[in-house]
Amino acid sequence: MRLMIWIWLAGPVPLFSQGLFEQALSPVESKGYVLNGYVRGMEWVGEKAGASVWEQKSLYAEGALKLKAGLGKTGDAFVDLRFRGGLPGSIEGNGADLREAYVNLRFGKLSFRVGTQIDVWGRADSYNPTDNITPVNPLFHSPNPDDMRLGNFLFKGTMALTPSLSLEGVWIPLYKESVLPVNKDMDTRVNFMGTQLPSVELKNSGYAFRLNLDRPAGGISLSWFDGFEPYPGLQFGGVSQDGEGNFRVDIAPVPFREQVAGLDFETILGSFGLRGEFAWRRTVNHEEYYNRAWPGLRYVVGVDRTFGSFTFLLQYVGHYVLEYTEPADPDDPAASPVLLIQYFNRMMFRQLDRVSHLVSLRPSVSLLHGELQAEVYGEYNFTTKEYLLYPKVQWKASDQTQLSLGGNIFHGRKNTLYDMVRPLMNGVFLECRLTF
Amino acid sequence: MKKLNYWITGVACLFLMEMPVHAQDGISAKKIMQKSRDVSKMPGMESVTLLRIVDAKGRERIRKITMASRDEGNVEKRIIKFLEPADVKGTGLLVFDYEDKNDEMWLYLPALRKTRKIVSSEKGRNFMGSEFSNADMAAPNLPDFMLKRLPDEKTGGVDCYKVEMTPRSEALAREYAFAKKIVWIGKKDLVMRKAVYYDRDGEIYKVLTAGDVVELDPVHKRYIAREMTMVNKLNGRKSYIKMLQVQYNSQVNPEYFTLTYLQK
Repeated sequence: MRLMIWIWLAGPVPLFSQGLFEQALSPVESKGYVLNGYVRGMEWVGEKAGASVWEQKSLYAEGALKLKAGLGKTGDAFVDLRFRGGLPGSIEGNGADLREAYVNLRFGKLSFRVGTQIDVWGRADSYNPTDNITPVNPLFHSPNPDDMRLGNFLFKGTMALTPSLSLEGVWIPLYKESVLPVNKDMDTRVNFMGTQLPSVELKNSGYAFRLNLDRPAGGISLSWFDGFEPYPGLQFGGVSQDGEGNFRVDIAPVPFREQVAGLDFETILGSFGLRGEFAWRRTVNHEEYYNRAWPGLRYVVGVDRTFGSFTFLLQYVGHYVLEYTEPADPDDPAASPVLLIQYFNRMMFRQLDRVSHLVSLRPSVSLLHGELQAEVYGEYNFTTKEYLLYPKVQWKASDQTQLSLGGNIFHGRKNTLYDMVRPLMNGVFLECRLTF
Repeated sequence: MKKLNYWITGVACLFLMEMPVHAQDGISAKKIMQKSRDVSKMPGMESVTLLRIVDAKGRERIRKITMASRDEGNVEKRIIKFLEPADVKGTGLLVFDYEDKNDEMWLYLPALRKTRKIVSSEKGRNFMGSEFSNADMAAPNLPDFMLKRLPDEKTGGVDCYKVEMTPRSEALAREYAFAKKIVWIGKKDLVMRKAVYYDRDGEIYKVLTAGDVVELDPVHKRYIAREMTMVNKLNGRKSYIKMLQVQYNSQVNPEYFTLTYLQK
């Protein structure tokens, strides 16, 4: 019986020799390796917080080397190494950054990916409540949203049960945090301490499973995640004095564990693409440990339609907080630091209201035979009255060079997330990229 | 006598005008197009193709793709992966081309790390920024067109059947992005050698020529044109497709045509 299972997992005896198609996709077998990459320069200017003058938010040059090496017929290895140099102390960081480095191994129906990697789940646009494995740096200034993702060490296995049904399993042995969208130097009365990382123990590792069914009519996935939420919550760390004897409140980012059951799907209805994503989040003792997000439901439904060169993507994003209670008033002078931090955490996790509704629209156009792409991402939160506009124009001057121009306009009322990130993110950017 | 001759000639002309053109050899336009579609269908094929796009100012863009196709009766499955340029390398398209219903299409974008199921009705959209349309990359869906046979004509020194294809509705004309198309089909190999596209004003706006025809499957008499050129008369752009390598393979691995492979 065991032998039968192994024969099934290893796949059929190769009936199909490697053809032209596969050879073209695997030049590593003839050359041993393939090297690609890019060089880009990025300038991002925006309004200085609290002043009506403009300042450099980000200025850096980055080189990326992407190396793929062959490991015979059973696999390959991939490295994405980036070198960055720019303004001192920038959020993007200077120096070398090993973004991804992993090995792929394939044994018939089973495949494995081991190493630092980026694993993206979910079929919705921008908001993916089922995507909880990969941490992000939302403050990273780049026109390419993928640059905001941070690689993490994972063991990933995929089993093709049938041509249309597959099972993914991910083990996350080490926690890696997402970057909180706050300016830690903004208020001298607050001292941001280092993140209280969970100890390196097996019990602190995370795991996730995803069952994917992809049929011609559409695709659907069921997922389960049990691990640390990439965004840590904040916790009161006490009161201390700085070097000049001024008192300040110590705040520590503290990661917390959660379980997320998810479902995502996509299909075509006539001329419309239809996508959706639903997630139920479970956390325990969230009232006692206020760094933790509250249990809740997150859901996204979107439609897209193409008219010639134009594409429109309309999406609804909703949050529902289970076991909801009113948050403290952050403007109450009597509010304790703990209540204020609790407020911040609920703002971060979009849980200030029991139910919140957000609508986003992404119209885009492709002109000059695909050489010029323009899009505007806009979203409005009907509950918190926050909005975001993100226009972007990209011109492919040649097959190797691309210029990107765009900007961010975050806006929100006082004590909202977008009001807080506004000074960090609002601005105009220009990027020049050469790919090789 | 002279009057009688005029009368006879006139009646004969009227008769010829009324007589279906296909009567000259008994082959209808539909049959020619169906046979042409059949000879282009392979049980399986793999290729590496170069696409060269030249704009009116002579600036050139190069795309290199690899493709595999597999005929499974009522559906022809195709997978296309970009090899060059570097910024789109890894982008993939999976198409299930059905004879009796709309195609199913998935697009994998490495920059997003996601596969998207996309609507396939945009047959008239340009293929990879070239003057070719998505519809030019597949055998025509014959029920979408009214077919009319025109007098035979030589093109490029090859004896050809000539067929006029008119989309059956305004909606289909919009979808295919032409009002009329005239195609030249080689009499010997039934491979399309030339096509002229007309816009709504009846003006020629694109001309396609095909060459380097080879017999890919001698057993089933399957032929393919390894080179195609499309010239846009309105904007002066030209696009060239050249199959650098092509392989007939009736045993194409079915695993290529899965989302797992598309994302590989």
